[in-house]
Amino acid sequence: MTSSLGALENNSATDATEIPLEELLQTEYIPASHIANQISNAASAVSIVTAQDIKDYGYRTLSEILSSMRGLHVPQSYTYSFLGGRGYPSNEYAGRIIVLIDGYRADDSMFGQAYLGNDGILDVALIDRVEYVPGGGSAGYGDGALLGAINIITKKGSDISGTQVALGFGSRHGRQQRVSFGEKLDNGANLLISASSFNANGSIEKDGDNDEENKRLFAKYDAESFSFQGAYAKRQINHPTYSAIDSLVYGDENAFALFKYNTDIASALKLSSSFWYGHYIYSSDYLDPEVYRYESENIAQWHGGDAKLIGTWFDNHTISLGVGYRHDYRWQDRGTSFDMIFNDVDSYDSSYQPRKTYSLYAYDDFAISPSLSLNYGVRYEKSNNDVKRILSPRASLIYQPWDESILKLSTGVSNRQATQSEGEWDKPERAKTEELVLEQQLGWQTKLIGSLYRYRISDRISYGNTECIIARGAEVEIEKHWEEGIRLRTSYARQNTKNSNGERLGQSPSHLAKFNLSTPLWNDQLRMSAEAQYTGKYLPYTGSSNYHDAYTVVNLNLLARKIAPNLDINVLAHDVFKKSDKEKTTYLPQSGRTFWLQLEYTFQ
Amino acid sequence: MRQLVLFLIFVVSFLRADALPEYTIKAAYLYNFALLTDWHDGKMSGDFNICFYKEDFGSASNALNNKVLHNQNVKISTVTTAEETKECQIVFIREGEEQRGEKLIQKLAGTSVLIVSESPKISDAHITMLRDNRKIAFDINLKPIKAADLSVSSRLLKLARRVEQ
Repeated sequence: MTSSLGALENNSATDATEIPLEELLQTEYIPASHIANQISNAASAVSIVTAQDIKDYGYRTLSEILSSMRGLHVPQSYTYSFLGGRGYPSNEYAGRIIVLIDGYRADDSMFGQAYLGNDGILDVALIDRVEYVPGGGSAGYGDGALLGAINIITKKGSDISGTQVALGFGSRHGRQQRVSFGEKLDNGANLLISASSFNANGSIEKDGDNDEENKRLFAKYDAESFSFQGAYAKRQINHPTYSAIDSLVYGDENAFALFKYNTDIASALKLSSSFWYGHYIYSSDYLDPEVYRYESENIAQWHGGDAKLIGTWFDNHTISLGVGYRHDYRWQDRGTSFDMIFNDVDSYDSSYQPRKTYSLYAYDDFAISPSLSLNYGVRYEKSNNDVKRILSPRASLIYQPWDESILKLSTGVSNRQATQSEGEWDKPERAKTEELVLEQQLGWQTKLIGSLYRYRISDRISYGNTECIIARGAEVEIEKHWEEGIRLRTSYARQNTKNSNGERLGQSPSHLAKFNLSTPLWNDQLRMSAEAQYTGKYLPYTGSSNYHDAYTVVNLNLLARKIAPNLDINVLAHDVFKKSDKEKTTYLPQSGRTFWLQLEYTFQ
Repeated sequence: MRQLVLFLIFVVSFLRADALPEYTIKAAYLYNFALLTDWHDGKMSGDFNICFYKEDFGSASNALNNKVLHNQNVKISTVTTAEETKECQIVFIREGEEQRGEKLIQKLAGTSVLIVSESPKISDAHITMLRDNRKIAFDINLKPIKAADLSVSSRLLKLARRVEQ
């Protein structure tokens, strides 16, 4: 390893200007990468993971992607991954941060879950980038984006350019298959179609107790002015039970269809619109053979649309005006129990009042001077339930005193309506957020981000308590890319969340640190990527007197690109030092050390 | 672990180490473009300014320092305005600066600055370096080169992937 790194240094030390031009044309290059710029128009401290990171670090789920981001921690239970961040506990953060796939809101309206593991709607191989936008996002994204949004942008057909077949093999008899086809068509449109499946004999418990399988389909047609895409995913997982005889299987089915249309109405006026359908079905099947069976389903279906006009009539102003509509038209619980001893069948079927939400919004992006701009806007939402109306304003000031530094100061109020499963609440949960961000370039491909924030969350929709909580924190991150293809990203987050009784919240570690380093070992064909994620000690639940120990998870991935023509292979070791097992002392047992081998072949 | 080591050996046996970092190659290209282009008299004395719009190549740009081109001492600098850029013999516009880059090119019209970019989205650049199947190729756009009163050698034209007349 040392010798190849040495070879790399020798390479960069050679004076390439001495190489004849004819020979330069034949020299292979080690790609340099620029630090990705955020796409989202947000004034908070955005984190970005790109397709290149996903490939180089061997990420396999959205939860692995998010775990690498500043200030986030993503513990798992037997069945789901939970997201915690900005001081908010992992057992409650879901539903308070929304997931958007190419603009489609993918969290379900029944439980408000984001589906980050193998239950996630997208195969991560189809993701071009993930942007995590912390902070109140209701003005921009609507009710629910109480503490932020995860923006997922999917790949285009041309990013695959051919037919790709991927096979994965891993710990606990893990198997994964994927076939993707992508191409830029003659008419300029991009087409991407993908199907994949995964199965394993348990992610956490000993073999056989925790069987998991999923199937995923995705298709996207992307032309200049319109696009159409659809996705379907179903995951089934066996929850480990105490006796060896009975079984409990959970199912999560997510699907959506999205149509988008954009056009220039006039030289200074654009229309951007979208229409969507989505559904989520949660099922559980408990079976004690020859004794008892209980099957149940929770079904949610919704559709909606959004139309936005973006005008640049006035100098220095970009004005957006929009209307939105969302109809959660089906919320249904049903189930049947079979008592096989007494031959008794019992069933129930209940539907809940559907919900319609209308929204109106307006934003102005005002360039006061070349170095100072003000973004402000408001969203008004009205539902046909007890909540009636919701107002979410925001404002941010962006100051760039010189080329290398940007200061962003933002404030806003965000809201979240109760999900169906939380029952009827007459007030939305509210978050008042303030954040100060500094983005500083420190020389070539070196960037520092610092953030200070304070959230006050009131009218909490939470089991058993409605007290307000205050979250405060400071974050710092440095990212650097070297021209040899080495990339470093490291961050530290300090967070402090207390409720109105002065109690520290459970599942909210005070310190989180991340370290990510990806380096070529041999040209660009062999690359090693390592990450370390430190989770500081935390209380397992609010009011607990004992802290859970801090731990550090280290992941290693070795990627061989074009090892044979068109073939990429990677080997991933997750939690190399087996530190996350410590979580077993709580009710959130972690997977421990696992291995994964993946082969990806592209027919071109 | 043993399997991993064996796997590594297997992988490494397939590889060759003759690649160079992208910007080391691109810096060498800039040097060659400068070598194979002629400027009119006004720019044939004083320092030979190789300029980078907004951002240079980091340590890869050092290879250009202390070089001599057309009997002039090479000076590398970072520029941000059109006024500064007019003093340069060559300016490089990087990927990600497409919008501002296009505006800069408009303002440079009629001055003899060789405009090199690495983004296919900047259509008015004189020379564009492109990633092409693991190698760096370049396209030449002759019309604006002539308009800028520059002449590039036939050797350069011959090696270009595409020459637009």
